[in-house]
Amino acid sequence: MSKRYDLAEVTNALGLPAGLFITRDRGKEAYPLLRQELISLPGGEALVLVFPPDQLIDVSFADETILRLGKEILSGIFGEKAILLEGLSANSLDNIRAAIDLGNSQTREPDRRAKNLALLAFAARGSGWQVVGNLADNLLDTLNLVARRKGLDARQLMSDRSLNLSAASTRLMRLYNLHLVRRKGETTERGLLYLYYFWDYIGDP
Amino acid sequence: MILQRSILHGGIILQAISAERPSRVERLTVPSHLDIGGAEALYRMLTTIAASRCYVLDMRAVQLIDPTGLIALVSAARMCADISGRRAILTNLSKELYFKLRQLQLFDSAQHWLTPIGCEGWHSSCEIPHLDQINGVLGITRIGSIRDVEALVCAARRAFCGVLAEKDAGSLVSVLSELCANVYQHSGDYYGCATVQSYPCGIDDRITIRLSVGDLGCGVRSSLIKRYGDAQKPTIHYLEEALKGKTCRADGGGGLGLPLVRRLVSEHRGYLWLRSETGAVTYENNQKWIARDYLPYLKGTQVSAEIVSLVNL
Repeated sequence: MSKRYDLAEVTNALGLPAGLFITRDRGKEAYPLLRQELISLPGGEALVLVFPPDQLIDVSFADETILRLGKEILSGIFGEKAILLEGLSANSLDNIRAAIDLGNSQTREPDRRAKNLALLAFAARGSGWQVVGNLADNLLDTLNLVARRKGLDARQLMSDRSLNLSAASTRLMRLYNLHLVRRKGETTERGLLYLYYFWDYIGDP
Repeated sequence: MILQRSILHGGIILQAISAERPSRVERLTVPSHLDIGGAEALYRMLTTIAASRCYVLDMRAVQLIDPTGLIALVSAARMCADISGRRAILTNLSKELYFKLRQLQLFDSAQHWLTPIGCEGWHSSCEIPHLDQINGVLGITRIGSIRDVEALVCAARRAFCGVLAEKDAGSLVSVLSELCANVYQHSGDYYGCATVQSYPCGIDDRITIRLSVGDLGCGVRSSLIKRYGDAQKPTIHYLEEALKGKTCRADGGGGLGLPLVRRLVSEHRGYLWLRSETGAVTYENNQKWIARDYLPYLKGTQVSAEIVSLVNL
């Protein structure tokens, strides 16, 4: 199960104008609130960050909150958790992409985690999702398959996509390491078998 | 400064001067086109500002002021006031120009540094709409704190979200947010300012947007040299590095504002002008950079950009 967190609580807590998520300083103030929500989740769950309609998120705020959390999730300090983004406008998505791209640009201090960062963004009311950030085409294809199948293991992927077992396992493992999917292990007569699942996203109630 | 009324225009100047007893009056003729070129000409005039003088900015030739020129005018007045100890006097304003500058909030925002004379008793023949009622214009707005940036961004959204296509309006406001935050976070100047104006561009579904943000703070070079510390490199080197995303922050974060402006300008085939101390870098129509060094010294930083945007149909 995922947990929904309305970002309007951030603007209320910080005394900001409604829907306005701007400046690095405000991002630094908001970050601990979001971090605490993520810490309080049990393992294997996702935090759905729900953005209000008509929001404005600038690149610096996104960098200091969403990207920072995303990179820390990739580093493993929060365990098997993820953040999912809901209700972002096209402009906000552009700014998050710009923050990821600019973070990867050559003249900035290299940050391997930023290079690999990819986040799941859902339209409001749960009608479809997209990846924001950098994800290779073959991994995106595999992710789509995991989302449709409600559970996928390496042998099934191997069969669906005519891959060898090693390649299929690697793709699923990479998605798992990117925190774009979760997994459950089962001990079978063949040994430990992992089943990979899309995050349980709870749409707008 | 106490101004004493007088019938004659020239008399008003003399009476103001005599109240303050400066040793000398310096008259600077403001260029007719106060755009980037006019701003550079104005800054060139300011290289010999001295204390104990009264500076008069003669506006008689001015035919055009765009956002770059407006910010340059404010910067010039501030520099005159800071060094001479007296507000700069704006004189020979035409009625039309006076009301336009009033509408753009120049006299409110810059009241500590300049004062218009010869305009007392002028009344507009028609009601001057308040800036809040005009779409596509953000008057000169002071940036001194994070609250100022938030208020400015809200005002920009109101002014442009109904005028520009949604994506472009969002991009413009995001860029403004980043540039204005740079002023209060990095410059050390609590009186920076910003303005945005829109102009028809001759194509039905398009509009030209020009923005300018300026401060008289520490400048880009001083900001970056603390971290990257190579005093041998010229100012333009630091301007180019800032445009590529170099940050002065010790944690490596930040430095996204100027690259974002560059990206916006590239997407719209517009132009970007970044001016700080003795250097300026221009980026236009996706062409190579043009960098100029050894310009007249301007304390602080000024960023101007122009894009052609889709209107909100």
